[in-house]
Amino acid sequence: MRAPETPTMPACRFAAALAGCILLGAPVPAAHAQDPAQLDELRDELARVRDEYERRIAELEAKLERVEQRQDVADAAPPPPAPAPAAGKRSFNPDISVIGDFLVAATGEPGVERDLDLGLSEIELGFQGVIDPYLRFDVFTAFHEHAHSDPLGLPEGFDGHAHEEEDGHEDEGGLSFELEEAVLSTLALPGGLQVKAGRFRQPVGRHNTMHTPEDPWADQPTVNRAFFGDDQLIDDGLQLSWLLPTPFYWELAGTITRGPSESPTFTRSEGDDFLHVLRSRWFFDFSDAVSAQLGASWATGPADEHGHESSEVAGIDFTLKWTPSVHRGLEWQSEVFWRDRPIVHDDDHESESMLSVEAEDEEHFATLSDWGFYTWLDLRLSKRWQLGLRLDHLDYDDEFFAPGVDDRWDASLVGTFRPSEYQALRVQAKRTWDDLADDDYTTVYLNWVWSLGAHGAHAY
Amino acid sequence: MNKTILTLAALLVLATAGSAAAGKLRVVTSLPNLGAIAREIGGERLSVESISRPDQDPHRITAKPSDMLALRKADLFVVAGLDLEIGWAPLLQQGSRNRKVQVGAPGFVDASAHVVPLEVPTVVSRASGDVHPGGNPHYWLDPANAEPVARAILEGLVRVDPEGAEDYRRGFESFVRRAQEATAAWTERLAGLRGTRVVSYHRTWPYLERRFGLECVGQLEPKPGIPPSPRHLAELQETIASQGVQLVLRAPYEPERPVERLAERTGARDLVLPTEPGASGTGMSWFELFDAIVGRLQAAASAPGHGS
Repeated sequence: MRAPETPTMPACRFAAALAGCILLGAPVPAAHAQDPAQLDELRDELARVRDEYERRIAELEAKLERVEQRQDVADAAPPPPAPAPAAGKRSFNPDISVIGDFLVAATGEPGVERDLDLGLSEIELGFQGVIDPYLRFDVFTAFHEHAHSDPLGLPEGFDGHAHEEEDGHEDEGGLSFELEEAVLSTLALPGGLQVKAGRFRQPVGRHNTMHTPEDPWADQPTVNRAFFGDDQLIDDGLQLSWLLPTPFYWELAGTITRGPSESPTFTRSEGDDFLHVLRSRWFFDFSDAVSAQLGASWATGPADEHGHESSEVAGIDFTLKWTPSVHRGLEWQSEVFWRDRPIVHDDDHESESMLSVEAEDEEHFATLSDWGFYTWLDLRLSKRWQLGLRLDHLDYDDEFFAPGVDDRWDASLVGTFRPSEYQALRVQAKRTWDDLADDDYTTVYLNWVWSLGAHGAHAY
Repeated sequence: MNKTILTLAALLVLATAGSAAAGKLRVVTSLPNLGAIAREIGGERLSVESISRPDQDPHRITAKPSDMLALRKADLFVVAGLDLEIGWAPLLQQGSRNRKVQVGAPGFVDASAHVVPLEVPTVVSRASGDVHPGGNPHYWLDPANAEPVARAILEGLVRVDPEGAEDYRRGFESFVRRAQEATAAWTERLAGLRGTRVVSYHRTWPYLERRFGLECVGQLEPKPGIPPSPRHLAELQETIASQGVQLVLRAPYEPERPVERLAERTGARDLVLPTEPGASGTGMSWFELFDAIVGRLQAAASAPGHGS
């Protein structure tokens, strides 16, 4: 038995014939059928089956042709190249991103020897993804300049100034590797609850929770740098947050973390003292184009390694956005922080020094109280251009400084050009009036940030 | 006595009205057109809300906390998929803390699941601009894709609300039938435009072009997501002249100035077509969206000065 020759669908016909054979219970008819009458009967049967299948196949072919014709009418363009199922992601790999941050800085700060420098300030590797229906995991590691071997001599909060002199850190140069964030977040807790575990940005204000490459500046606001350090306040621990069942957006968050090892305000205690942060955040949509966010934060944690004293930071942040169209808009963001920071009160009045480990007597502590704010106005001119103005203020605690040392002001003008969504070129000019410095000075930054790999998120 | 009865009756009506509203299945869609289709299928059983506004660029939405609030109570979350919402939908899902709408949960619907995508890149590289690895995501602009989209939504609805399966199936069948009839009518109305050469700002219209037989010979964007450069515009101007291009297609959220300037220089017409129901003066239903698109295309084709 041979499959009938036809130009189309020979496999189909062969299959039909084969099916016919099987139906008759005679896989190889000639081999078993001896009797000619039986043979004839079998032939007739086969012919009938063949006719039946041919009729059906012809019907199918006609149907197919009709469908194809219909398709032809519809398809002016050629059919797409063998499309895979339209699902977005086709692997279990996490989303991987590599973010580069290149910085050129020129500063007129008195006393800085290398007043022009350039280099990679950070290379960040991000791995993000959903673990199972209940959890997601976000990991960011970074190679970056060590905070104390800053070859740029960038202006720092006063802790930075004092620190360098104090422990005489060598400028090692080069990049150090660090686990920046590694945070597990629950996706499926009931009641609007969410737990985070791991190393994460502490919810003190708005800027501290933002991912560094998304900063609209080349530097950090003075107050954030002075209170939370170059690397911002990031710590290991747990966070519980609750989205309240209110008609407007209201989120409460509380954290308990082990205490950061390097922070101008908090430290890691040897005892059972932890860093605690509370934050409340409200969001309001006034219209399609206007929205605002208000936040209040409070943090308390060990100020010394023995846990005798604790530091406190309180802050309020406010963001107002006006986005009349996709590529135009205005954003105003401000944060203010107050700090109480117990430090060792020594008689030489070298009070800007960091806490001494030797201090065991509580009476030797005195509380440094200072505050600061920044306010940032960002004008989105087009899809590619942004122009912004930032004013920074830090009010030093008068009691701890020589007369005449009251405060520090910075004013920055920032222009950003984004050739695509995946890179930003930024120029920032900053004028600083610092009572701790000998003279006013200007710093200019050229900053280039780019991102390779996974698409970034458009957070509010 | 009468008063008491009236009051009671009024209260009863209010109570039932209230419970009816509360008993609705809450559907949140990323785009308004998906919401319009869900409404066609589910009708009164659903309360439907869309996150992006009809005049917004779906590529560039910011994940606002208030949108997380909308998603918090959702029973079903429908996205267009093909990475269109990659910058914002994941943030909203995470921020909503709603397990029903997470990827893979029964209440999550990728509306592209049954769509055959166009322009699936063979090599995925951002050197080609902002490409989507799964293919061009503007598939809903082909009215014939309403059927696969509606099917994906129907499946989601039946998953999360099996009690309404009958109603949803009826709604689906009725919608698909009406959509097919309407599509045939629209195709006929635009039969005269077959073979018309057009350019567009972004690669927003390949599905529409294929359906109605328009031939797209170029974009103002040299690559997806990259704004037009003077050199590219000069080249495009030559293409428009040599190919006899008559229309420059543009979505309402795409920039007006470069298109207008190009139109002035070449005599081609700047034609703004809505991409979502509810945009620029069109109605709210899915049918009204395509009525508006077809109407504008037809008007542009027959307007005096066409092709000059």
